[in-house]
Amino acid sequence: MSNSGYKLKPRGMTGGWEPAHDRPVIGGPLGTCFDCHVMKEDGLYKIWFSWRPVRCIAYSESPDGIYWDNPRVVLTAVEGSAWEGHEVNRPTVVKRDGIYHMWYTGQMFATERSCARSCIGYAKSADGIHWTRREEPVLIPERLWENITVMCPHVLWEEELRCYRMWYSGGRMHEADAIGIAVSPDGIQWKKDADNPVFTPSLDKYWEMGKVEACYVLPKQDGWYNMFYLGMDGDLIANVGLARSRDGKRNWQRHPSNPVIAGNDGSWDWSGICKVSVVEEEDGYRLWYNGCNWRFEEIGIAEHKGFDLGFPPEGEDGTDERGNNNGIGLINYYIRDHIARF
Amino acid sequence: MKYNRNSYKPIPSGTTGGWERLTDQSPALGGVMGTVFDCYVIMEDGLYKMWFSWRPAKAIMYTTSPDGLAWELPTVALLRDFDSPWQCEEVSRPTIIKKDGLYHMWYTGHGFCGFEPTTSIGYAVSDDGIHWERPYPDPVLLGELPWEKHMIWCPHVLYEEESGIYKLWYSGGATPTSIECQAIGYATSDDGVHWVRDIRNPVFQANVENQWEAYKVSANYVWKQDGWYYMTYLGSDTDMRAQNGLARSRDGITDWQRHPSNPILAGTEGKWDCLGICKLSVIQTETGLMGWYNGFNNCIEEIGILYHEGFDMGFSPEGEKGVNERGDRPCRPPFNRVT
Repeated sequence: MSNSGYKLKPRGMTGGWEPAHDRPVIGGPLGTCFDCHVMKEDGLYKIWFSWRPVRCIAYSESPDGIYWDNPRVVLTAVEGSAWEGHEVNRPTVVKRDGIYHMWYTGQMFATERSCARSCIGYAKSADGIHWTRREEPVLIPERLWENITVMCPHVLWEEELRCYRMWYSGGRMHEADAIGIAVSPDGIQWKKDADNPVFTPSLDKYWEMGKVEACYVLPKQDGWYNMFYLGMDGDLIANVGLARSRDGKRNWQRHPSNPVIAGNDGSWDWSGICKVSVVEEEDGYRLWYNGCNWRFEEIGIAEHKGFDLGFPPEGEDGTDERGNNNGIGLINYYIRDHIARF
Repeated sequence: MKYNRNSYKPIPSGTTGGWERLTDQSPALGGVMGTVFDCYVIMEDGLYKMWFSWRPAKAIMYTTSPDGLAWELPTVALLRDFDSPWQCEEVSRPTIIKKDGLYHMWYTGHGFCGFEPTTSIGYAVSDDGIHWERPYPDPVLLGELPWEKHMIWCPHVLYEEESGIYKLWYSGGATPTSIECQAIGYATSDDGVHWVRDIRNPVFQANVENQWEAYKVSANYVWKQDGWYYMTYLGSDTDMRAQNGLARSRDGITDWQRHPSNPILAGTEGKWDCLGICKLSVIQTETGLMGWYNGFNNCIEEIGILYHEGFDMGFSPEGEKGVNERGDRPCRPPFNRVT
């Protein structure tokens, strides 16, 4: 069988999404800024984001979502902690009953004293800036599929169910592999779903055959949970897809033009797209994402006019806006990874 | 050609032009040795001899093989010289000629000029291919011209008996922040030491019509066959992926004809050389061509082996475009790696 052909890398945006600004809105001299959560309150945009060079979570505000005030550090690693001693990142924030609740990822890296592991922690705050956190993680990797990592929490308060629901990623630490869910009455005691992982890579779709992780789920609308998720191709290049489910757990319907947000050639985010955070506006959606270039990751903004996300009717495949994807491709990233790099 | 930025970008994969990867499952050299790259292979008296670049040692190594497939553990052939600023960091990328009972090597010396890295081309001589002398304290070729920028490397030298001239192809145009050289230059010499550059330099440049080599070309290997100079070369696409192409020219300088199925050697999905291909070294056997190349994965660069049955390289007749085995997927995206 011939090994010759073309591997097709999806580029740009589909499904009605467009870049809303031609440059990153947070990054540049700050270095890598990634995995953020954006909230709009009383006309003011608030962002919590992961700041890689200093391994902490930072906070900023903006009147328009584009121009942000100087960020301030709001959560750091805890010296001596066995689970968040090296880095904290990937926050998700819910405001309920006047209190901000944050779930975030605490990380340990492999050293002479520690093994690599990621856990999910919890903190609460009256102003979104000063946080009180629990000493122990609220979610740790335990199941086989979770390997050494649970990370990238995304939490919604489900009024109908009177509980919090969390979508989280598990697996390897240098990018998790699949998505699971858990529920909790108080945001602290979580029960993992017995059917986890509830969302896994699709091996017949090159762009997401490597991994799926780092999701953002919109509150249930018109009977659907819409989930943005990070997919990784065989080379572990990241892009963002969209799927929907009636119950947020089963029978996910993937968007026919996935990935809806992919790297933009000739732009600062050409190399790939990672986690998104979405705000519903009066006339559509705004979405903040971390895009990659060869130097680092930065946060940019995209928008979607209207609320029709472009899914075909249930049971139909729909049409891929990028055309027929008949390329070849396999999972390359882990080949020879047993060899020491030198 | 207008580029639709919300579409699929085709990335070539696998081999074409009749080339077959002999080391499909695992490379011939690499693994626990770490990154091995840019080799040069000759065959003498039934013995294959290889000089290659070994990144962890920053040295040029030597090894032999009875069949070109299985290689002995290597021996150090040339080390960096801490007392020589232009080659104090690393020596690499050798090209070898056996002439008048001596081995002649041209190689790349890596050094520092102020705070910036430099590369230049040096010369060494040996009577056994293992123990080398560097008769001149200075490089035989330095990056001096605007197109060459700070760095030249990857010498490839042919000695032509009929004219008594050494011919050198080399890569130039790298900078401290760019990964690869930009284009290929040409020079000649009566003694292999004093070189005269061709006024038409660079004689081979990137082609923006071909996405896979739109950004840079470098690291060539040239051989003569049937009245042509055949040249394999490293092409860098708009994202700086590396693949290997084939071209030919009647005089080795002008009117290069590119192979219709370029790149003839691209990364192979799911294999040890999945992420791309760098330099290729070729020898002619009785039945065809054998090639040794460095391919890379997400971990290191390693050396694998190619074979081409027969000597028809698959070019179309002069003046004809030919058929691309992968099918034509024209694509001219903007340059990303410079962003």
